[in-house]
Amino acid sequence: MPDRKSSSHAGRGLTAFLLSAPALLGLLLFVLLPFLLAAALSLTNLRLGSPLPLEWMGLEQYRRILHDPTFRHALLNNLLFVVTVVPVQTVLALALAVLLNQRLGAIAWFRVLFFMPVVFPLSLVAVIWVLIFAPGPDGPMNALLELISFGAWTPRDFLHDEQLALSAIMLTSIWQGTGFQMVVILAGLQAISAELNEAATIDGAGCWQRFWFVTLPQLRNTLIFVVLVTTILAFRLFDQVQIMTQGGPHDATTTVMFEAVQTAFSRQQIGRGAAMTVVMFLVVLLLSLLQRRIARQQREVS
Amino acid sequence: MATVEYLHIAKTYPNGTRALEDLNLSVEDGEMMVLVGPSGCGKSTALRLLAGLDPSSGGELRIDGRRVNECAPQHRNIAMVFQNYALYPHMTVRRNLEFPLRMMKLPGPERSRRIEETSRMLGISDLLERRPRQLSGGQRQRVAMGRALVRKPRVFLMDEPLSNLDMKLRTRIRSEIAGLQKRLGITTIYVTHDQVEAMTLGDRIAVLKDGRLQQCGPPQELYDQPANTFVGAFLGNPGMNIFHAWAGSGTAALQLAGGSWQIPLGPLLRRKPKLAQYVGHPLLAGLRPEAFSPWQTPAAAVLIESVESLGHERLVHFVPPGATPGAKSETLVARLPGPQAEQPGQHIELGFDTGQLHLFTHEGDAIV
Repeated sequence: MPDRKSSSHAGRGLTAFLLSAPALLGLLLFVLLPFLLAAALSLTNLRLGSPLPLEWMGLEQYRRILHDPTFRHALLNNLLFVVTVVPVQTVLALALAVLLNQRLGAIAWFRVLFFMPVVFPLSLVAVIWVLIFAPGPDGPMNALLELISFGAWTPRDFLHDEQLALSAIMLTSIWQGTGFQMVVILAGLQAISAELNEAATIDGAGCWQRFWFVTLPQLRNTLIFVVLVTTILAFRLFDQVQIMTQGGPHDATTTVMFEAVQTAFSRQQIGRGAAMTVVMFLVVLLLSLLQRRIARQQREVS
Repeated sequence: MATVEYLHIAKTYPNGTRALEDLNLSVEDGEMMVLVGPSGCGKSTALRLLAGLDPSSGGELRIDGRRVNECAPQHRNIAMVFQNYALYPHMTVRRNLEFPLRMMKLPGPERSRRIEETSRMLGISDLLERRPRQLSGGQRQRVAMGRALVRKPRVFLMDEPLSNLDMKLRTRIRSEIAGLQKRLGITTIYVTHDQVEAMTLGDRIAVLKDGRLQQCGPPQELYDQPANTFVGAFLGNPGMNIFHAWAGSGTAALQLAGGSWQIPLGPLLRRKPKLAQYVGHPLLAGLRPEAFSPWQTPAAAVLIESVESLGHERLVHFVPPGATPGAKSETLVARLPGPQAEQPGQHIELGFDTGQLHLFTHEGDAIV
């Protein structure tokens, strides 16, 4: 009875639609709609509290921001941040996870300690690191560097130093973000069967060879996931910049997200800010597609 | 090729589990030694200690007469086949076989030659470019054996290598393993819980229970002369029937199963002189299921509980008349030839060959 079949099929489709409607509505209202609005606004010159009439600008806004040295600086900073923080953080998290995967007495406490920064609010972490980076010989970071260099270190004002400010933010972010990656990698490590390592041991592999030939290949998919997530988070870098440096000194620490927020809400150039977020979206999208492609290729291989 | 010795080996795990106590065992060059016992008897521990995966808590391990306790596993030149094969999932079969050779830092052409040779021997030449997940259980098993054999180890360890295969495949690979081991002459220690594997594969069998060696010897010797009731009941399917016996000092007969069967003491004492010490004490008697037959004396009328027919033979579960009804330890099994002829609830006359009677002390040790 084709009629009944199709009607029941339609009925099931309707039920599915009704059941998912609340979630879909949320997605539509809070993700898709704002994005479409941003994309549309980026083609105009909308400014808040401006007496000038709204004008259609087409891609002119994009041409302008891409030629804006501050925005280019922001993009470059983001790129620098990604190519530094992602590898350093991943390697560090991997090392920590391997260490914390050992069977030691108080291992649970160490795991908690290393995961704690993840639980702290980013803004709080940033405030604490502002204190750590305090200028003058009494700032904890200066004091530490002086101690371990036997007094050879001259105190610097990290957050107002063009050469050091971005590194200081990177350090903060790595400290804060490593714990999350570590936990994900630790879960990946624990999924590797102990027998594989034992087999490799008996096959004559030392501990580095086991790590290189067994552990790392087995962690491949976990690592791809971790790198992807960290990259996206790195492009969204905002809180630390907002609290620690305000993008300064001389745009040394500004980022795309920070520029977008500044442009849209401080300078009230909504259209221009929207264009910046669309650029960021495209960059992140491109990176995600790239990484997904790599991941898929490797999944086919393994 | 090598000899292996366990000298007073003990193993206590950090959580207090005593896995092995005072294990003394020597495996000769080229021998296939099967460690068998129920789960938790310490047989896998014995293997892991020799491989160096776990440190021993006491005693000395020797390979070729040299102490290896302190030697790292990767330097012992031992190969092992794991129960779940532990093939490297991200490597092709070729890379799996090549891995131990790379760790030995053999040159490329030599590696290829060995892989070629081993894969031909095991019939896996066509599988070299596949990955473990694309293989069937039997193929994985062969690859695991190949990875262990390719480096020509001094000692070959196998930890329940057939337990993940179906019955038919198990029988086939079992005979392949036996043939291969004989041909290559590699000293092999094979761990299993399956007494059939132990009986068919071992040059010698070591039976373990609760971390202690019960008996070690050629399969037939263990079957015919078990050192205690555990070995008797463990080997054979079904195992040896164990039941109470009593050699009264007043009578000249051994009373079996509460007097169901009575055997003259004279001939028994001639065969087992030590029995004299136990006259007047409670004893245990053991009879293999195949020792029973309906035509032999002494005979007793027994109550049949159930019959399992296997076509060419039948397993008759019965209760001897003198036994307390319902006491489980007193249910005995007889293996009788031919198809089913009895019904549960029926009484039949059953006797046995007194020459096949085993006697044990009350504690279970054999009386010879």
